[in-house]
Amino acid sequence: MTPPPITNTIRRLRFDHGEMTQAELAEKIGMTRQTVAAIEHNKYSPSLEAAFRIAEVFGVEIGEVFQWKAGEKETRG
Amino acid sequence: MSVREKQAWFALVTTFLLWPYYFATLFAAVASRDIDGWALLTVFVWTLVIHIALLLGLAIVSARMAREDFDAPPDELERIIEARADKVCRRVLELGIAVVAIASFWVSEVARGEFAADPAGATAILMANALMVVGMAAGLIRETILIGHFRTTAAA
Repeated sequence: MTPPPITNTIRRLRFDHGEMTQAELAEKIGMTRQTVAAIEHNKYSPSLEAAFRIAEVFGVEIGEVFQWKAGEKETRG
Repeated sequence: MSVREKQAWFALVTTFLLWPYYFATLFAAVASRDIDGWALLTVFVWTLVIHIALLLGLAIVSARMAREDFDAPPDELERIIEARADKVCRRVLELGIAVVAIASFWVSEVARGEFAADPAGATAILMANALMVVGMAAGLIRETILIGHFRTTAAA
């Protein structure tokens, strides 16, 4: 399965928020820890709603959590 | 491992553990050309009851041990994975049922020749079991796809 052209900073944001665990984040956004891990490792692109929920938990804009990378690849190519 | 992946594993393993006995009983009856419908039904009901009890028990115990809710609603990734598995499962069911329906002519012919004492009863039992095999195969394929997706996507 091709990874989505999106990167994220969830790992860093969790670290910045008192080493929040994946399980704690999962509980806050109503998902399983495995799904949070899949999002964090860029194996799954969450829905827009889930993305906003994650940003809300960390108190940042959604763009600080997720970054679109497809355009960069096209520019480089 | 998520609750749902564990449940898929339980379904897969318990099916392979429990149902071979039932099918061995069925094949032995067919091979001896003497199908005792009630005896077969008894084995079937017991296998089914044990299977359901085992699945329920394993789901509850594993969820308690992991301190998770065993019947929590699926999240969005789990719903996507389940939808993919269900799609394949549905296709297998459709194809399997069509094959069984077409094979019914052949089954009734065989039953007429091989089970002269009760060809209608034998046909009914063979057809019911063929449909059950299709349902079980579709279920096993579904669980296998679930496990595969959980392993590749949500395993961490």
